[in-house]
Amino acid sequence: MITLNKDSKTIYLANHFSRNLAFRNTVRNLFHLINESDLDEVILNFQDVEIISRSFAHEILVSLRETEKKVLIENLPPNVQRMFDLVKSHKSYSS
Amino acid sequence: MNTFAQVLNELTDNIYEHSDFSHAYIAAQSYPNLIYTEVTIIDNGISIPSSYEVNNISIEDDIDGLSKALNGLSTKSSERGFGLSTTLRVLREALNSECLIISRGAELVAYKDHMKMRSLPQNEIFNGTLISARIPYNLKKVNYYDYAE
Repeated sequence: MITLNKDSKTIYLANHFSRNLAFRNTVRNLFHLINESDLDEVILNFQDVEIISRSFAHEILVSLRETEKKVLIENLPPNVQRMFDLVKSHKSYSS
Repeated sequence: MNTFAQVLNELTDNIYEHSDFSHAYIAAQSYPNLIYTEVTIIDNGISIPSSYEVNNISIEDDIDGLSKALNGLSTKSSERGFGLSTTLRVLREALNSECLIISRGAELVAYKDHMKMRSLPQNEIFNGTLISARIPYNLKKVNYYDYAE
């Protein structure tokens, strides 16, 4: 259960979901929660995430592109960063 | 382990994203004498060819539908479509695996250096999708990012 309020605006993905982030639907549900919240700013913390699928990373980037909220990314492990870089560097990706 | 996890991630996400399934299974069996583990992911969803049809993407036949998926044509967006194509490349080239894909009336058998496709006869058509890989023991460590795009 994720609670978002002014005292709790950081979402620790490994704790709330898994150290292995796989599914696009998880991202869609997450951003639905963020977009429906009263907060203007939310932090997604990737501490302890070990694996992120290409699909999960792409859905995060799409959701960041579409949300009107300020969503900050923190503590990206190197291999997670590499997946985001891989998706963003592909010719099909629209920034 | 991470590379194998990436394979399972993409294939299971594909089921949730595209197949409109009611039942799906992952099964694995190790064969010590044959020196491989066979992993199979199977769902009773609408199949890959039907996924194109319900999204109004024209296919000539089921082989064409499976080929489009292997070539990265997504039913959702031009930014998508990497799941099956990348996964098959990783399985064949990184994990030295033999692969079998059956989706409705199309069958693909893939080895490291070549692939064979055929149309299934009417009595073998499978209403769903099956993806199976024989992954050899004693793999050297591989970097997923060397094969992903």
